[in-house]
Amino acid sequence: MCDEVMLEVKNLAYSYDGVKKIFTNIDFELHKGEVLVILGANGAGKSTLLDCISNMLTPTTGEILLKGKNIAKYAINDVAKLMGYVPQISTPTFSYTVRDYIVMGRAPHMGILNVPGPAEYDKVDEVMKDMWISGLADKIYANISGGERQQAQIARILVQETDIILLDEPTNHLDYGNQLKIIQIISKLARNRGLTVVLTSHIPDHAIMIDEKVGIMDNLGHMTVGPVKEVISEESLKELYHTDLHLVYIDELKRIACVAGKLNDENRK
Amino acid sequence: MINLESSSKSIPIDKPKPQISAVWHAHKIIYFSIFLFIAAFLISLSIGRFNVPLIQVVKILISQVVPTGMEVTWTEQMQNVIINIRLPRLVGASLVGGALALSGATYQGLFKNPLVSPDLLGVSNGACVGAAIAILLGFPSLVIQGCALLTGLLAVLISTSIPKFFKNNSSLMLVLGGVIVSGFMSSLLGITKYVADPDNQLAAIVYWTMGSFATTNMNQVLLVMPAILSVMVVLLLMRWRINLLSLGDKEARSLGVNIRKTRGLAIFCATILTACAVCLCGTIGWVGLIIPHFGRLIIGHDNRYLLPISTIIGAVFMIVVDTIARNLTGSEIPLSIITGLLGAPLFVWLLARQKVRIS
Repeated sequence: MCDEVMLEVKNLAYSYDGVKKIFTNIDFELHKGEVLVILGANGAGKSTLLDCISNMLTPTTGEILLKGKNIAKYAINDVAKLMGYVPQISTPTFSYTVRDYIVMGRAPHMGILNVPGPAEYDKVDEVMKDMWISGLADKIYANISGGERQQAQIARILVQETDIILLDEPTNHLDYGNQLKIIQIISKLARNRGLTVVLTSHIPDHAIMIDEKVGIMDNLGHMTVGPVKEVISEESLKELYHTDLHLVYIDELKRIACVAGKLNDENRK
Repeated sequence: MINLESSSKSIPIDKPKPQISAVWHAHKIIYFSIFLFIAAFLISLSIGRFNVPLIQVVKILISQVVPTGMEVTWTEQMQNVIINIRLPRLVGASLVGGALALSGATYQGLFKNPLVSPDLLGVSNGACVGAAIAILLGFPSLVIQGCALLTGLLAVLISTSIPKFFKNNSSLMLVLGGVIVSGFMSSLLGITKYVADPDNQLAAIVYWTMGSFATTNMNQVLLVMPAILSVMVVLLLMRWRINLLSLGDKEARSLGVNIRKTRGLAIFCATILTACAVCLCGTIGWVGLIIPHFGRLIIGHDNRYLLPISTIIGAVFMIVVDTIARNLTGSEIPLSIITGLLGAPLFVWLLARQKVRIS
């Protein structure tokens, strides 16, 4: 792993209208090739945190450094060359083909009055081939399945050629097989291409499988960040999800797995 | 190259360069529509109460551009009708049709709503008020056009200021701003009609608000032509950026798009187009709404092709409408009547074809 710090978040806080606090004192740094999985209950502020990191919202206090430079000092286009962002799956109003959707990732590298040409499309074809999704090229983006759409969104980020990628609940609305496929792709992107990744998820196993950094965001807006082994424990998960959870070691896989307890009302705290 | 997919579960179908045929298909449609435009332009030049054979029309046009020693096979009257009467109207109609359709397609792309028309921000109603006041004060036609342009732009300026006033940058706030200003302007127009002299001023105002090229001359056309053409070029060049904006604010921004500036520039250009069109011939409904729909039906949603095709088809549509307006009856029929009569059934047919679900 390279020592270069790609993303540094210092003492970050955000509150709506300066009154309603969403989160406070968030600190972490990510090196090249590191993955941070953020776990948190519904409404804990995970998406707001990603919005701040991706420069959509201005934090109330604290700062975000991209490659050591404050994000506020970058032009919007230069942020887009360094950091890509995949929001939660949405259905577009107008239908483009998957290939035309993915080529939009080249926008930060092009002038305002340019349209994508063969060079841009070659890049798209290359990425689609790498991800084994060339078959989707001519399909309409609005008509493909959730899993395929998520892969197309990741392909768009790869075409964008950024060092950092942020994904807001990339496994949301996906079946179990597709969830694992996306987690596998993300893990490989970090390991093989050295991308720095921040993603949010509702499934503790995703963090355990990726086995890098994890951040647990509680309802008071604090986030504990650290390696999976240090941060994920039965106590921390029970506290987070307010339900009975067990961590079981699976010998075959050489890792722990998160398993729910009995479906008894007594187990609920 | 790193293979991202290790399992063999997904079955890849690797088609080499699948897009080429689609791009070529779009280009073919655009080339064909350009041909259609030229044909409609020439045929419309030849049709009228005084018919001029098509071959003579072509010869007269060539003789104007290249003053060669071509044998004069046409009468003085033919040349006068073609060059001084029909040509200005048709150039005007092409510019207005193209401008309204391009403006509508841009607005529909920007607001991610296929039911939006160029009047969204109140430009047409604003222009009507300016023109009506100028007619009341008995100004000449050039001043009427100038007033229409100014008040049209003023209306949009007020509409776009409303979201700023509430410090809310959402598209919905902008649309509501347009509704407020349009309603207000239409009341002001009502006042001007109420106080107008019913014998000639009222008729002039009503006739103006229904659109016509009857009094259009080449000087008027040449006055707005540079503005319309240059703004058209800017919008057509930024057509892919409108694709990016239609992804939604968050995604567009994450792709490095400066939303406020890009959307502002596109709205400014689309507004200038509508305002110029309105000041040349009065208000014309339907074109900006239905032509982009028609374009989407034949070429798809991609603004890279939709904006050019809408411009050309808009011009063709306006040529047809104007030809009907000056030939159907002994007197000129206002354009909005024909665009409405043609547009409404056409829109029903388009909605049926597109199977648009409107809840």
